[in-house]
Amino acid sequence: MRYSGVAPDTVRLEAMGLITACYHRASGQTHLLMEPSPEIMAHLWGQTLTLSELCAALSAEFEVAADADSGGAFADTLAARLEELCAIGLVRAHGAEPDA
Amino acid sequence: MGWCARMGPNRMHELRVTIGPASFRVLSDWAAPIAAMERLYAAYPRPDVCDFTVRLEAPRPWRRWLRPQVRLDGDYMVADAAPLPLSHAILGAEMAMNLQMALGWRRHVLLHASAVERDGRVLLMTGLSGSGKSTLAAMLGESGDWRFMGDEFALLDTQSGHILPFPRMVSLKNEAIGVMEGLLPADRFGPLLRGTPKGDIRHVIPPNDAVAMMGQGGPPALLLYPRFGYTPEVRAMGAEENFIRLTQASTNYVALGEAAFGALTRLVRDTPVLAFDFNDGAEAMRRIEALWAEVSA
Repeated sequence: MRYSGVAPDTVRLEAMGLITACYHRASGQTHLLMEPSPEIMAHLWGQTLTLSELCAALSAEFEVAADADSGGAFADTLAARLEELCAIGLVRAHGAEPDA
Repeated sequence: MGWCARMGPNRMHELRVTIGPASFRVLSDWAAPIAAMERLYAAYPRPDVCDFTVRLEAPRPWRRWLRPQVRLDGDYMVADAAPLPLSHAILGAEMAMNLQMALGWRRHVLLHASAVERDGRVLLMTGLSGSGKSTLAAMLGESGDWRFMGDEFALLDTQSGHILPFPRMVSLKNEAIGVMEGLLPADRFGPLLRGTPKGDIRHVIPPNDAVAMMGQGGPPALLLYPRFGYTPEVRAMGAEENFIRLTQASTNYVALGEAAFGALTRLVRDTPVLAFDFNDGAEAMRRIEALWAEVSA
């Protein structure tokens, strides 16, 4: 599975303390995001990544081991957040992962 | 002469009134509620064209005279609202007018909040029903140092970020009635309405300056979440909780879309906020004065 972000001009993000408030122009809905969801969205803007690639990119930012291949906690967290972001239309999923 | 096809020529008791930026037409099967509201709203402008119409109608023809009951109707209503006795008709009219604002107003973000103004800047107070925000706004408005802007709704302008007044009748409930009866002359009060669905209710005419300046808003300078009945305490509130509670306090947040999102995030970002517990009105006013001095420094 590969993932891409929605265009930046389709959402409006405002940091609100511990959360990021996200206004989604396409749906008119407000979503309250906690890390790493805003970071996932930022990394997927303008590119399409696999979970492994996203995990590698974000692991440095969050100072955790890039453990996507071993099914570690960080990869599990990203997978869960990706599923949620896809469900509300803030991330798009594309087919099967080519190297799966 | 008021008349419309739906009401017919025999039901033409009517009041037109402007409150802040909104205007209302109240139509009634009975003369008495309109006469009472004419007195309460004597100082308010009378518009030619109204934003909303509300009606006080008898649910059955004989209920105009026989154990008279008032059914509320209007441009925006909720289904299955129970009729009220005629003695509670003023409350019914106020509830229906509030409902028009809550469900129909689109020009500003409508916040379930009270507001007072001082030196051109606004103290906003929001919270659940019974939090004391109405009583605090009424007491501050009568102190002479603050201008009462509203006890139920505050209107947030999406362009300027200013709070605009909606100074309708102050609706005192239960213990707050006695508190204000000790402060104000009798001619400022409407009739005491006992045993309403919200307990005892008594309306108060806002101070003269509240009505005279009801077109004039101001930037918010402090946002409080009062909570009555608790040991006096002031607590910090995180931006995330503040934002979530403000979206819950707005009746038209979803309808206004991104404009409301921008206005509320700006309010959260730019306005100091505190949770404010109190159990005595006079003591709370002193603490509010001290907090106001801090944000004004």
